[in-house]
Amino acid sequence: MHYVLTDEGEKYLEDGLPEKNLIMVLERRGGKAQISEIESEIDNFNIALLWAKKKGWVELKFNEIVLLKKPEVFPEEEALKKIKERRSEEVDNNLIETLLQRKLIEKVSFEHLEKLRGKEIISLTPELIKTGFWREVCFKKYDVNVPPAEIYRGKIHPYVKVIKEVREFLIGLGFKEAKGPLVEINFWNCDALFMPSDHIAREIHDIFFIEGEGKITRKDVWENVKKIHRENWGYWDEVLAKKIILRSQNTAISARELANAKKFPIKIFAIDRVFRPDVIDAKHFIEFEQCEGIVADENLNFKHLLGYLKEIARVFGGKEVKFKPSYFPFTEPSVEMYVKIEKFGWVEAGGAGIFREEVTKPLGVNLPVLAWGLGLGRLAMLKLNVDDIRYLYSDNLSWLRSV
Amino acid sequence: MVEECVKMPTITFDKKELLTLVGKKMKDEELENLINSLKPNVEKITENEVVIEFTSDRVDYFSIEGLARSIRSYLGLKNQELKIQKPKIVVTYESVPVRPYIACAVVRNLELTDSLIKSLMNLQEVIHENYGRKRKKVAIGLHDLEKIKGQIKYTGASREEKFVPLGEREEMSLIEVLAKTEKGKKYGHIISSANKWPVFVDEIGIFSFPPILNSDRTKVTEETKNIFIDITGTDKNAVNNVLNIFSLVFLERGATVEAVKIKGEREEITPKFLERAIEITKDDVKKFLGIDLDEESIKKLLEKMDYKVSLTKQKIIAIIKPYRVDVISKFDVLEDIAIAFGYENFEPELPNVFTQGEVHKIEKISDEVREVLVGYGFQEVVRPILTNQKLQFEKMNLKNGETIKILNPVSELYTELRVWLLPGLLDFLAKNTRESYPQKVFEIGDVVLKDETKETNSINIRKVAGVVADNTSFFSGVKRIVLEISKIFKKEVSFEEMSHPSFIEGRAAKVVLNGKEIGFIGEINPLVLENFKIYMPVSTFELSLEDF
Repeated sequence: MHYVLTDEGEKYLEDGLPEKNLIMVLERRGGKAQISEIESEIDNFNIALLWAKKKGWVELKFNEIVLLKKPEVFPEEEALKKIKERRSEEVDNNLIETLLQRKLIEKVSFEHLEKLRGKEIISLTPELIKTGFWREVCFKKYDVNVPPAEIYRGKIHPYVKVIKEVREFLIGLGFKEAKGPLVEINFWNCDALFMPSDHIAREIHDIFFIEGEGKITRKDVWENVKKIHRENWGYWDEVLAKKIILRSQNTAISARELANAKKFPIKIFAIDRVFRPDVIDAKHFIEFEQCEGIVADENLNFKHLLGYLKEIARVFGGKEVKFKPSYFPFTEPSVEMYVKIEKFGWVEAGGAGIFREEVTKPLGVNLPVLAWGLGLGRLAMLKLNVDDIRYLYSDNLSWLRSV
Repeated sequence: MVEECVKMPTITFDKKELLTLVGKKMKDEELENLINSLKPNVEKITENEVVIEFTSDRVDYFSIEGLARSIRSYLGLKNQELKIQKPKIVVTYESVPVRPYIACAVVRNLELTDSLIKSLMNLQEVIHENYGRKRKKVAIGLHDLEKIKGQIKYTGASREEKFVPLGEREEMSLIEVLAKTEKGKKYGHIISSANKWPVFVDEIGIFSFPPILNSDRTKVTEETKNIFIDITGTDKNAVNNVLNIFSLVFLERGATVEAVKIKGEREEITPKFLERAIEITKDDVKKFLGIDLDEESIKKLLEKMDYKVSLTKQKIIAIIKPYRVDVISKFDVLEDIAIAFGYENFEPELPNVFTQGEVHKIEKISDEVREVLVGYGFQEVVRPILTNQKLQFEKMNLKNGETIKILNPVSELYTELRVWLLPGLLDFLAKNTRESYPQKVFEIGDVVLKDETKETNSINIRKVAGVVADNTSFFSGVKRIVLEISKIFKKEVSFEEMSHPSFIEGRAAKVVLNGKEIGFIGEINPLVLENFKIYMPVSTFELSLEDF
């Protein structure tokens, strides 16, 4: 027959039997103590008192415990030690019975383990450890070169990681993040940006239209925009301006932020999804993220625009930048920025400009506004070393697990 | 501001021709840098061609002659004066409401080489498509002046009137032209609803049917020496601007351009080849561009951009050439100064604009949730916001639901905005059934719901959703995750039994926060799994993050 310690048995072996602890405490206190004084000092006080009395080591006088004799040895403790060391055959049967009764040990049967004796096994089990039967078996050797099964860890999407990096970078530069509605009013997406009603980028090939008409909450801006369009383009299509669309550029968010700005200077950015009808292939998808920002303050000029661009270009990891003239309907002058990146050469990094007065004045802003957009998709594709935009919105789990 | 994902239209020029017009030999690299510094993006230069991306403000760059003139000017080479001769020909004008504006000119002493014919055809096509808004706003007709007889008249014709259209042998009525010719089918809609259709007629009959087709009789051939130009459209400025660009092209080719008198209710001379003046000061240049230049230097820079300049005591008067139809205000002139100065010569300067950086609250919340889910071993995915009814409802075992739909979708897969994230995640699982399980993926993203109280009749909601596909994927597992998410925001959510066709009956619950339903958890109905062909139990959660 084999015995093993229960959890309580393990604990007593480690911390001492409760009755032993009681004797120790009484001895320290000169042989007697009030119950209330020592009760809390001893774990399982009641058990301790019960067994100490039973053994005739102490007696109880009212509320006082008196040590009668201090035993030389504590046989239960010795027994626990032996059983732990798998020498239970050396323990007296009565003592075994007592320990079983006190639930400090339990019987184990090796019968079902017997068949493993001397065999080579694969897995070490809790039972084998507890019974000590592990001594009777040997372990199969592993081939340490066998590749392990895959365990996939949780991961942030690689594109989201790039976006987070850009976001943190811009916040570090003092930019505040803004949001806007994905379903927009044409007015904020185009008209407020001085794009004429018949601008080619406003056709059904370039903007997704939604049924219904938007509500114009800023009547003042509406009137100003109407005036500026009529003055410069000779007409303005109010019905078109009220149409609801899917946001096609985050410059719409910049326009809203400028219209709502109460205090200057401001530095604002937005990283969010935009939508454009297009062919769907390796280079084009109909929705993608855009990163746009504005800086509005007194006395800003073209050199400052280039200064910000050069600073922002650092997020691409490029050391050199170059600028060339460009065209956007809402900025003048307009700039395109290229960044020199190791292994890739010059890469188009973004577009920028100073908002035209025809944009800012109707929004109620009378100071220069620098505006820029970052080629986020291109940045991400470079960083992830992929050449297909569809990876950024990948539905390929294998790729996501591997990067 | 970033055009990265949109293919820009391009224009192709003959390289040899361009260099001949410029009058200077150049290496490809030099030419490329030069054009780039003038604004157009050079897409490529090959042995014979120069391909540039559209610069839609500079209509003059749509022509090889216009680009060549700007290059000459930028290089300091001499350019000729642009002068229009007095009118000899009169066009009588009767109002045609569907196409009210016209402008005409005559070109004489033209040497019509192959390359010029090619260049004219290119320019015509590019302007028709782009600036002319597919011929609606502006259309151009070029005719052999010698074939036009007697008095020219612009008038409205009935649809039964006949002429022989370009490329045809037989007479056709105007209505037949619309019905039978390629151009008629493509552009007929511009005029078809009107009673009277626009035509130019002479003694013989119709010779131009704008914006559809010219007549075969007056077509321009290699023998043509003199040309009659008709420009028609719906926007007066645009019509005049296009005639200015064509005048520039012919003048640059050494021909004489002669004005035409248009006689209607009022008399008018076209082209209106007017020079405008815009005043700037050196302070404008300093304030706006950040460079300190004297008047003389500014004058030189403007001349490099083909302006005529006169200086007064305080002011710099920039005279804008008639072909610069893009110039609106002094900021356009200032940009030209910057271009002439060279963007590479500006010293970038970071000003001291003190502001506090700040992440948007919803992104901060999203990041915290992301961290929890990654800790639980979830892989993040990013899915399109556009989707379709079949995926959002039918496959989810639901009746069709209310969504925001696109009026002009480009693919049946993407016809409306998603109202929940779960279908996209199941679609993801369905595409990856060959990958090893367990599969635990999540998405944090926006859905868009109808909301008539909002200015855009809609509202964005930031949500998180996750799916666990595994043998041991149970309700209690996703419930634990929802509790952990709410714990990080120190919010207490409760669960209410829910009956929902997408889930196994009795194994789904609403997630409630402060009495408001913010999401759900559940085990996916095997019927739905069958629809997606996912042969693995899936449990899921989806929560709005707006209330955390």
